Amino acid sequence: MKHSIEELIATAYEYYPQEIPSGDPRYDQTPEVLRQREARVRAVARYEDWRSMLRRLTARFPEEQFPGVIVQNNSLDLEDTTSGMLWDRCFVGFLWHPVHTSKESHLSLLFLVSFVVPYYTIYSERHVFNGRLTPKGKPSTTVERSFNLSPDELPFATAIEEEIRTTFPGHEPILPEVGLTVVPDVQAGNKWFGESTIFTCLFAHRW
Amino acid sequence: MKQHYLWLVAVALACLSACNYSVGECWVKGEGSAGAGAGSSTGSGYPVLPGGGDTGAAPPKQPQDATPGSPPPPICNSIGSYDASLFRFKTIVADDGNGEAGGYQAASANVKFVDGRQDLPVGWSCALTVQMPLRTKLYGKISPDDAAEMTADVLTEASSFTMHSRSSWIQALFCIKLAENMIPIFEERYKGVGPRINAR
Repeated sequence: MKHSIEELIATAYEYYPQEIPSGDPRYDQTPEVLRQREARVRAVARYEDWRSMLRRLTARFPEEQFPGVIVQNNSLDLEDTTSGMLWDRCFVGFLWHPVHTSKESHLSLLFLVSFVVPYYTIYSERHVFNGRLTPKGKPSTTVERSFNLSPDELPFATAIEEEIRTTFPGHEPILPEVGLTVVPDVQAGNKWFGESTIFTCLFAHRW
Repeated sequence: MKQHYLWLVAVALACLSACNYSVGECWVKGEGSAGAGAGSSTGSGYPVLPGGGDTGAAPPKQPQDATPGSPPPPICNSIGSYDASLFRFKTIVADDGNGEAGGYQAASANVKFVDGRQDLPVGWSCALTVQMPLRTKLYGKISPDDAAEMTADVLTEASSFTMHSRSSWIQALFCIKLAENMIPIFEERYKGVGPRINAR
């Protein structure tokens, strides 16, 4: 990797004020949050590149040959500078694919391409029925994340990686253990102090 | 803005007027009180991401957890839910009709909570903002009414789960966790919608 953990944490501090929760009235006007806005404007300028990448990815997996494989753009809010929240500092895509067993409800690969650091990550999410019911009586699931992809997932991940490298030259994969490093004293996205990681700060709120 | 009180208000009133039991003593129907399910569940019965749960939380109690001879606590999830009318979605990016997905809509609401499990009920509110596309590949068109129904449905479940994942809360932390917990429930129930959710 081009950056050390310390350098990435320092970059995270450029975008998140230390020791100020997002509910604090001062939060939105801090220099760090204003930098998030600037980064977002730059990302919007690259939105068409992202969308083109997703189109190419979709074309690589035609439905006739890959039933149930669907590429989803989860960064529609970056189409316009005036919309969206300031949480994501990356483009987010899903590649849904059919479940393997009746114990699973959803299977997807997620790919996140940061627009504030030259890194991306690809991982899987499985919604697995856990045998319990929600209060409304619906089957409950547990979400499992993994960076260790199954043999079934690898061809899709390879295609995603090729398209990312073509679209965002210079980007490289971030090591999961680096991304999962806690950034002290910041509250990013839906993570509290002590929970916000490099992934949360430099990629997406879903981390 | 119209303000809504959850079933927790009713629980609080019930606790004050009709029964005498300890903090957290309400039963959540259909959920396990012992043992976790697959993966990294906190035992709550809701989708939980690895590392995202509150590991210090006590799971909600079940009827079989009752002490023999003691009066039963109320069933805390049987009273009401959020109404979709709370969320009035407005378009913030028009759908240009190109591609398989497009447009964006948003709604904000001030959502009130009362934790009736405490000796003195504690109340607070979260400023909740939800944004989602107007059209997605998997879901098709999402009308403002559809968006509101989905949001109310997910909020109802996430608020119950979040409240019972700790024995007490501070407002800021509760709001953050509420938003965090809404996302996997949303994805489970409304695959491919991909909302952004913020609560402060």
